[in-house]
Amino acid sequence: MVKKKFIDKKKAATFVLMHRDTEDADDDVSARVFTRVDAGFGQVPGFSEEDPRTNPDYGYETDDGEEDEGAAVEESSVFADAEEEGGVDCDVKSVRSSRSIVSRSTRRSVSSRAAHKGPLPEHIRLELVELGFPDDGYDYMQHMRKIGVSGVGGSFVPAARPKPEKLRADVKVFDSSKVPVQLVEEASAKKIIEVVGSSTHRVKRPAYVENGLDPEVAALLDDSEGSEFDSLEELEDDFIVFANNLPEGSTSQEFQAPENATFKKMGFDFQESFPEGDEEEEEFSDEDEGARSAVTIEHNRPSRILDEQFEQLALREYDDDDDNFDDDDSEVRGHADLSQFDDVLSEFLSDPKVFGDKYMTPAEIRRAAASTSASKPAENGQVLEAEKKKKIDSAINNVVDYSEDDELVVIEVESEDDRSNWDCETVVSTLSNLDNHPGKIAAPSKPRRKAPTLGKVLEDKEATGGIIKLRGKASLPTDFLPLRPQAEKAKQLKSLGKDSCKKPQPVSRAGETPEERKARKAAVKEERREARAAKKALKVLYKDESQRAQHGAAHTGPSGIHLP
Amino acid sequence: MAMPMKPGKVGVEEAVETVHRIRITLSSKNVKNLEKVCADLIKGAKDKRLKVKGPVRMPTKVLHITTRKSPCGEGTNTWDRFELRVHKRVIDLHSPSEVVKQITSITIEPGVEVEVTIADV
Repeated sequence: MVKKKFIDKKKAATFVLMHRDTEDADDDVSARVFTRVDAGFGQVPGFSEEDPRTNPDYGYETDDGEEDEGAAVEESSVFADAEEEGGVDCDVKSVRSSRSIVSRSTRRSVSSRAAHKGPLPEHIRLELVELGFPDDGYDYMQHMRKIGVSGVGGSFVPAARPKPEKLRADVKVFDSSKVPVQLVEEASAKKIIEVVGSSTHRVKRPAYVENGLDPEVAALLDDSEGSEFDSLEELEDDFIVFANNLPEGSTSQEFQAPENATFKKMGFDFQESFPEGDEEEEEFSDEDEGARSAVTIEHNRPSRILDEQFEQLALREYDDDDDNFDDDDSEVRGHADLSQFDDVLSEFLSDPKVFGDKYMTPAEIRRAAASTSASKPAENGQVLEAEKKKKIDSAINNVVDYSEDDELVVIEVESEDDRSNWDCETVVSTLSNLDNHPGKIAAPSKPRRKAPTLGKVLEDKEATGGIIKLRGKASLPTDFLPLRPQAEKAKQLKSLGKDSCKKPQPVSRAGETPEERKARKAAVKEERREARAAKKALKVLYKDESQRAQHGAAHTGPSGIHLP
Repeated sequence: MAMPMKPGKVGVEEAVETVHRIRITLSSKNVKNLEKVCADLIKGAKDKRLKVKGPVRMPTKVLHITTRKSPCGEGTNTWDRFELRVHKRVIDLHSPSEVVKQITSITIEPGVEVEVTIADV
């Protein structure tokens, strides 16, 4: 038996408590709101306020609290302006049910904001059109925000600059918008003047205006309200040609209108764009004038105390004082008597480099100088003078006489012929035959390897028993291969070894003397050495043979035999 | 059980309110908040002299996520085991819907989802 459910879902309405979608709602409304989740159509008293199906005006301040359900429901949907599927006969319910799948948030936002306008009210439409939005019935104002209403947006501050082009050329304009207004009684006259002076500043027109530009041209240049010409007509395609025709003077009348237009449009910049060389001077002069005019404008300003101070500073620090220099002014020149420099001359006279006839140590020089200066401070002034003159003359002469040493210095170089020469005889005779035995020089011949002779083969055959044995890694019938000298040696050694093995080994006996023991041990060592040599020889032989076989196999081509 | 409804316009408050069967489902990841909300709701309902059943604790659903700890494939294969626990409580009431709205609007903790199902609508 089926237990009766507490709630039959098909007949129930479900609401979910969600955060409010619109954050700019009133503060007295709670942050959470019940939103209908299920697809039913029943109305719940108490919950119907926030149900967009029952209350499409929720969140919206209109008087249309009690509207027809069906129409209201239709319009509040996101798909309100979409065409109905299936034409006239389509089921309204199916449309509704599809709508319920729409996310809750969009439904909420749409319902709360623009749910019920129908055609937008006139004032809103006007505003939208003014802002540039298309008039398609959508309320773009919901995405717009008023500036300056809350603290988030900015606030408009009108521009305080006066427009320069409206000023007449003979009028000076001062901008005192920043002057604070004070009551006359409160402030003294001086203070007022200071305040006004500091806050006011002259409104300057651009340099080319001050320079004496044609007022018409200036007006055109300053034209900030849009040009008279269309953007297409600004410049003729061959404006350079037109412009060039002007100085030539040919058919200037025809070109007056376009030339004027182009000239005025480009102003001074046009002149600088002349390609010819002789026009460059004009260009430079224009630039200079411009610079000068800028400078003059600066000077037209009333000079302040600070300006004067700066000029003083500039003069003091950076200017040349030559024209102000006074030779007579002892303070400027500095103090120095010529008598202070008497010692200089005496130093020079006693300088050994100049007058170096006699070698004098620095102490002697000093003594001599002291004696000369001490002995004649005041007396014999004239004699001193004469002496000094003489010395000076000699010094000058000495200094000048470097030209005497212009002799050619001859350097003697030993030539190669003078050296002692060796000839072949001498060289050869220094060598003796005692330590050098010359022999006949011959080219080393390749050792001829001969195949083993028949007799030997037979001999070997007897030894091996008629079987050809393949030995070694390379599986070669070593007995029948041509032996190389090493191999021969190895064989000999082997045979020797065998022989030596057959030799009776000296056995240590009880009564042998140390010499005998030594002899015995030496003999044993010899045997072992020989055995080692034989073994090595054999190994080398095998390796050589296998290498040879591999080479051969490589030459002849791939074969079934694998040679390791 | 539901009293016959008087005919009236939508949005106009009825003089006699019908009592509906209402199921409030609370779900949350946080047990403490959930229990607190439950207790508040039941307390509020009892204050209004409503017939309350609950809270019925549904079995918690645990979502397991097991991932490799390492961002690359190198190293010992250590695994992280994450889980997300969803707790669910159900409260059944018999009350008119406006009262329920009042009750639920008062007590709200963050992280607790409230769903109200009204029967026979």
